Amino acid sequence: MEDQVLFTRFHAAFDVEPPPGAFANLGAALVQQPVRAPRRAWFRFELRPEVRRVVAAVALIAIIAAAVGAFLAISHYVHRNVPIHVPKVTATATCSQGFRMYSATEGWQGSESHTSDGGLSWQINVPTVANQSKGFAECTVDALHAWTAMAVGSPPTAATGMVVLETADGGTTWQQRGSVPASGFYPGAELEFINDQVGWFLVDSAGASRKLYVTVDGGYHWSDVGAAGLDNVARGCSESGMIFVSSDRGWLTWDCTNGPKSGTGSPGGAVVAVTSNGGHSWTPVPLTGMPSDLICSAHAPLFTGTAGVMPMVCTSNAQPAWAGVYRTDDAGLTWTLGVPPFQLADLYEVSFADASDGFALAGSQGLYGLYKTTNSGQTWTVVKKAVFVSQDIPQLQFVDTNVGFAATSSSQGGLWQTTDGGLTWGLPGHRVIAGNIGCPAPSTPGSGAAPLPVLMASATTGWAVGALHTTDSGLHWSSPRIPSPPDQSAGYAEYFLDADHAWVVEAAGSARACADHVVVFSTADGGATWQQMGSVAVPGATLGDVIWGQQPSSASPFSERGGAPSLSFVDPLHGWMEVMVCGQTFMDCPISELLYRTGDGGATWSLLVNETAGSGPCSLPTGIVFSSVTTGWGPLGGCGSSGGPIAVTHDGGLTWTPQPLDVGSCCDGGPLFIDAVNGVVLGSTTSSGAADDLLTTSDGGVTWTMQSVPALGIDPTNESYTLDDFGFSSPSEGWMLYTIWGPTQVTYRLYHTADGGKTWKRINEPIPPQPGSETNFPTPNFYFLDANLGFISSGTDLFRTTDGGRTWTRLSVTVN
Amino acid sequence: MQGTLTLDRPSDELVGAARAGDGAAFAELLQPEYRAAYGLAHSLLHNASDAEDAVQEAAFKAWRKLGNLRQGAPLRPWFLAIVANQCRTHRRRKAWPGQTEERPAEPVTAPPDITAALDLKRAVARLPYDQQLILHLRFSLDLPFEEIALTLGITPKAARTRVERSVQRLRPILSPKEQTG
Repeated sequence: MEDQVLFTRFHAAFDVEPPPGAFANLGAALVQQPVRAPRRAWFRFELRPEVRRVVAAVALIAIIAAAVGAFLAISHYVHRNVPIHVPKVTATATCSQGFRMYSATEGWQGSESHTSDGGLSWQINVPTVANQSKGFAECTVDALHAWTAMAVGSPPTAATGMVVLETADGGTTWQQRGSVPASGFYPGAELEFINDQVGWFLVDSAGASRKLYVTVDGGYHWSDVGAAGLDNVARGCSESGMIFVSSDRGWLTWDCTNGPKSGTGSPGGAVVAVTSNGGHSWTPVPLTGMPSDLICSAHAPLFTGTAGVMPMVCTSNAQPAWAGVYRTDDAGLTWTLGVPPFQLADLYEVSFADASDGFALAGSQGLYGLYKTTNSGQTWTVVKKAVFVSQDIPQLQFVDTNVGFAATSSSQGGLWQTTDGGLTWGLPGHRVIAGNIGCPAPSTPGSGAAPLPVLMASATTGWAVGALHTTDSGLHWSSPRIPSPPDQSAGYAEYFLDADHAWVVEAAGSARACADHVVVFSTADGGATWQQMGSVAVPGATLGDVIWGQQPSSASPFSERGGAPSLSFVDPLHGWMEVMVCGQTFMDCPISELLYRTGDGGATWSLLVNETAGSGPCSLPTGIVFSSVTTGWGPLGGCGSSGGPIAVTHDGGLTWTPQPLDVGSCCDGGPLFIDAVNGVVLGSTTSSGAADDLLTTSDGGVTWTMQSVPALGIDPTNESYTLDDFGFSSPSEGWMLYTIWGPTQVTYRLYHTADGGKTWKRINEPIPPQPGSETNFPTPNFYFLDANLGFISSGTDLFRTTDGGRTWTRLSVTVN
Repeated sequence: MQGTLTLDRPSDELVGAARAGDGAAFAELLQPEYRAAYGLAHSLLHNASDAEDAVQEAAFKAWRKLGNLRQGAPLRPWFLAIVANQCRTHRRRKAWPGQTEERPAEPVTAPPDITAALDLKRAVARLPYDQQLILHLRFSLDLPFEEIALTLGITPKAARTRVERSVQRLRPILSPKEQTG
């Protein structure tokens, strides 16, 4: 019997109303962009009234199109369409869209993202045009050359044309080339180039005939080919690919998802059409053996000389249901179906390096085998029975018979690489565990940026993020010499108790899990020496899971204060560690949350709470701080909506109780306890979630008193603000740092209170750092030891004040 | 049953007008299905803007292919199938390496137990796409197995089996006290 709870829970979790006006927008777009009507009425000589209306509408559209065309022709007279003589050439390249590597190191994702290091890093350059509308096409022909076409129109829901842009330097710079007319809300478009000069551009505008344009000068000028029969080949279907192998011979493929199949009237099927005269006329290609009742999509054919292959994948909406590879030996005049030996229903991805050699990923989601053919798909052999275990959405591409690339859900932003034809795969820059799962790289807090002071124990001695230590007031910082545990993974936390005592926790894994235990290090001599303390196995971490020492989203900008929120010590012996087990993506986090306690400085840890996401009462807060051996605090986020926004424990972390506060939500950066009894917390009573309320306690959190926050005096219609950092050095002395977003500039403001938050004064002198441009500026963080001595870090520079922020000195910092 | 057509004009007339290129007629035809389509897209894409785009793109595809809708056949499963395919395409595009899966903060109407909702979202997100889809069709849109079958192009029995299998995959991540099924 079905569980009715599931209905309730799904509705509670997923019910969502469309944004106001969403359907109105769609309706307006539909009304603006009529889809081409069937044409059978044109056979009548005497037009019926409704047909006359259609004729009138078409005429009107034609007039509008002509007007638009005239406008475009005038405005782009340099790029006017003229009859073009297409030179007789054979393709030196074929166009690709999506993820495409052209060598072991260079390639593209689409035309906007380019790599020169095998996918380890990607440079993203998105070209833009004025009045950009919906509609897009792209084409890359080699490691450097790419074209992209964008629909333009005003309003943006109504395209009036498509503008072509070209890059010849791997996307670093884009130049606008020619344009062609287009109409519709989302005109279909396909670009194909066979070298850096000759290309075709198919535009499928709603309410107008398909048009095929050709260029022989790299996209500056486009001429209407005058394609005949193009409209009748796959009416109602979406083009899925276009390839030319010479200036004469080319193929077009259409995805006829639920669409008609030309000549038969039956639904479904892919349609392939061929031209032998540069696109002037098109005829359907007969393909035997293809099911007619499924949704089929043909890959663009791939040729080596006269031999070619064309993979075909059909689905039943839910999953691949049929697949095959068609091959030709006569340059595409006739095609023969080859059948892979694996379960056709499981074919997921096919990539041919040339017309003979291809690879296929076949299997259900989570378990794929890699297969290989050397005869255009007539026979297949197993390369590897299981690759990319438990991963989703693999993408596969082979540059040649040895070098291949794949993208999966554990690619960590990179690309899997093989140099031995798929036998072994590596993920550059990342550790790989069983099942070809890529693990996140270890955290490197504090590296590559100006030190961010966390705790200054005196005017000269203190700690910064990354367990950096200074003894000369922040001029020189020493990096910790902490040995990396074997199989170190992402996940890091640190806590600084005083000038001498600090702890660092690093996550580590095994051959089976990216992270399944944490290793604790501590120092009692100001970082001069570090000792490995406990190694704690984390239950519940499974294949591919990772461990976060703190929230991966870094939601709180104040997480560094008093140490990372997942680690808290009240003296050299007593501490707590909160571990969050997450899957590979943000949506998979957390799987479970665990709270440990130590009474011997971190040598041994006992598990206090193991809360599997969704299983418990949601009582364990995230980001705990302890004010004594027995009492601790932490924000519950949405968990405590019924009982209070924060939770408190009075038994050392065993049990947690929600505590009401006079704020709707909290707690950015806290609660912060200045000592055992005095603490502050920021919360919000507004729906915006802005930290607009400050509460203080002087009795260890038994009672909280609402204080004030600085009055910014901004114009809410033109300005907004964000709170970047706040902190108290004593129960009375506190600071708040804001970024003010004005209509033309961004500024920082520092406010100070000397009476525990009752009143605030702006420190009027300009504070370093100052913002750069509006799109590139640092988020500053500060630390005040007392009413006078403080630091501000911009991320690139460290500044110090000795007069409460009125003047600042930039420090010439060294880190080693 | 959700989604019963409530139209100012008879649906056959609307279909005819829409096939003839009348955008207003097609919009009227889609209106009763829009909420379900948007809800499905939002559940699968986790982003309001992406969901709106996906439904719009699906709507135009559907309009172009309206000639394939058999006379008398229900519009909703046919349209939801196109939406689901559009979402699959959208997710594949988003899954290219280096392309971050942005999920910007959106205004949330807090459900009674926001944590349980988040946990369920995370649990569902761990499932393969097809299982997510069938769970949303069943438990978010309350579709009967017959309509799920029409949407996915499978038999009602297969729809029931796949729902049950997907629930089995989901249960270990749900609360033990709720594993009653």
